[in-house]
Amino acid sequence: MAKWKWATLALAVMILLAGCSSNNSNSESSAPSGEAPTASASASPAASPSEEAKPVTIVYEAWTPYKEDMDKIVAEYKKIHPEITVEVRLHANYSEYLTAIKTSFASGDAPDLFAFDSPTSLANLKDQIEPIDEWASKAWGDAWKDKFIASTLTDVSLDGKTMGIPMHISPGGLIWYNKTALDKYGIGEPKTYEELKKASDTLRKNGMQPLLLGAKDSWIVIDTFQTILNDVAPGKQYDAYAKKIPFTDPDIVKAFDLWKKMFDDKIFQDDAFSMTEYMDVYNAFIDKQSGAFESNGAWNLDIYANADLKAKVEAVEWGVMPFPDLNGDGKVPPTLSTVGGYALGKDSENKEAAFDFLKFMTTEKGLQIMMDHFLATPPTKEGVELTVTLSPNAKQNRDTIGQIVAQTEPVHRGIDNAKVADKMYEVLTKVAYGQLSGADAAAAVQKVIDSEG
Amino acid sequence: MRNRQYSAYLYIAPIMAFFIVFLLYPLLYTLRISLFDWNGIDKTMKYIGLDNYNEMFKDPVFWQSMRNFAIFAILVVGIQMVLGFLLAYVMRRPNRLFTAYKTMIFIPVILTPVVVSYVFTNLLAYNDGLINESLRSIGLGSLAFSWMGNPHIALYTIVGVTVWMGTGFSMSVYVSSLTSLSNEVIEASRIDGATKWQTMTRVVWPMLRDAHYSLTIIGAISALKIFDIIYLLTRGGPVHSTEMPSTYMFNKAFGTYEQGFASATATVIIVFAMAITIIQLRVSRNSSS
Repeated sequence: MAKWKWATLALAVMILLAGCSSNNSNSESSAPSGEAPTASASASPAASPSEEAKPVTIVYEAWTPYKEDMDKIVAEYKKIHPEITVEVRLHANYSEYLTAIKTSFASGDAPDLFAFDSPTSLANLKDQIEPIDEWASKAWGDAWKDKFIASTLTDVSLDGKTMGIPMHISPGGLIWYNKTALDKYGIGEPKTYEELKKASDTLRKNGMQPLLLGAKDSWIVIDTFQTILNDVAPGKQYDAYAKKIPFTDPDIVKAFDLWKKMFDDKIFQDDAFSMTEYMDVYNAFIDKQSGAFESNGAWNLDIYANADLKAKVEAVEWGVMPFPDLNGDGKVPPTLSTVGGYALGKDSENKEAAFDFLKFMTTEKGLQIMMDHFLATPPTKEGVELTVTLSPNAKQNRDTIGQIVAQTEPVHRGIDNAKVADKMYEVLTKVAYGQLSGADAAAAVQKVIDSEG
Repeated sequence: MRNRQYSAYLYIAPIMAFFIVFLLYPLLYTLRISLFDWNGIDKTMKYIGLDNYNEMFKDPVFWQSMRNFAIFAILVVGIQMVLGFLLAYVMRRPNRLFTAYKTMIFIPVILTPVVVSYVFTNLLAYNDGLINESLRSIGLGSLAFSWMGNPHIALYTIVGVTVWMGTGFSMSVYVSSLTSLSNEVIEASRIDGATKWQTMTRVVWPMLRDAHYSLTIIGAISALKIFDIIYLLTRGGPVHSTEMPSTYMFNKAFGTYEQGFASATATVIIVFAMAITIIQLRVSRNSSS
């Protein structure tokens, strides 16, 4: 009998523990949205952190920027605000970051500042984000939005609230190429599907792989397919996600069929699904130079800042282009607008210091440091003059990206719903392996869209 | 008498506290979460009863992960045991060369999966991996497979890598078991006219029953839990051909933000692991008796 008493007591303690923990997590309240941050401990945007000079530690968690840049940013910030310590948790890549950030929130170890890079992650992290509108107004005045390029703010906004300071402009859905190799085999920049196919055949005959795609990573597969979709069925995917038209629309099915054809025609490299974009494909393209084309975004400009591969990068002339006109209508598909931003943690106890650092990092000295490495266009209207000297090839490609963006206005990148995105990657894999027809693939995605309220 | 009874509970209190906090509580918490629709981040959780389990049992990918686990476990446990036993038996006599060989065979056991995956990613790369390049260079290009990109081969590639990583452990277990085996029995079998093969298979192998059971249980549970090497080499693909319950669960938790669903998968894995252990222990006890 005593045994049962002890067992019951132990169970009761355990249940109490469980109850307490769930009560704690549920009872935490945050400032109502739209309400001005209170003047408590650290949540007042009015006072500057240096006025109080109280030692504060803030945590920044992300996969970007590069560690050396982040170290520089933190060091520069420390010169102005010695009382603020910035603890940096940088992850090797975006996938690892997503796993880590989710664990951080679940374990109550949420960072004060963190990044998001897709509509999927923004949608799932939204309840952990403090909209920055109030803080930005305090920092830059009521007309603060004029400081940023409008489209960048649209990308980081949700339900009328600005969920973060936008990252630099760096469109996805481009093709990079090794111009030196193409010249060697007499291949010009392919403008149509047929030219791309012909270029692939020539490259294969000469022992080179054609278009490299790190298909083990779902994000680049979805980036690439969204670009194909935007060529074959302009705008239709977005209407389908919004349930305005079915995803089984004949044009969307055509895009799946074209995706299959690209594998059948051996336009992508052999064994694409066993390679990650970073670092397998990146290394194959830049280091080993075993492939002549690479599906990647404008952020690939960072090859010019890669000290490890400097010699190899400089020895080759690189080029960048939009995807060719795949359906023969004479138009190239638009690029994909990256939906990236730096967010302020809703439960941060140091919002004031955190936002001050964010401001420094994304619009002041920190922006300069990052742009010098990314070589990208800043999200601010003011622009940033690079302090690094660009090689003629780097400058040319940076200008080309600017021209591509100017000619074809970027469209929405990514899929907001994680389940739809997951299904999309699954069916694209199956279509590529010939296990699913284009029509069945579209129907499978439609089924998930339907099941999501 | 009653005081003595209470003091006994006092003595077991530390381990009970450890058990409750680090084992029982997480298990029950996982079970609880499996009844909710929750993305693992937000504070709001919606109670949905057994819906996660219903959805999971209807998902063909879940069943494929279980099939993959079965194939993987049978092959890995079987091959590792046989190879480990053969290596231990062949090198049972004290010999410096054998000691060096055994050390080399054991080295993969201490390597982290990250290192192993890095090595094998480079070795097995289709276009410029060492294995395929070697095959092509000796005119066996037709055998240069897509080791991790072919859905019909990828699982067996993972089996091969896991066997390479784990055979040293099986061998070391058999080495220690063989050390405690009486030489008289082996000599007696020889005197009775048994061949070397018969001695090994009908005398020595049956006498190592405890080692077989330990390795089977450890191997089966390890196979059920395996995650790192698969995630690093194939991420469960292509087309779920190397999907395991653990990678399936991971994708639900961190890919599609379905923490409740992932917890339901975790619960099934736990129940399955317990069932395997109980069955194997029962079989072991029955055989012993």
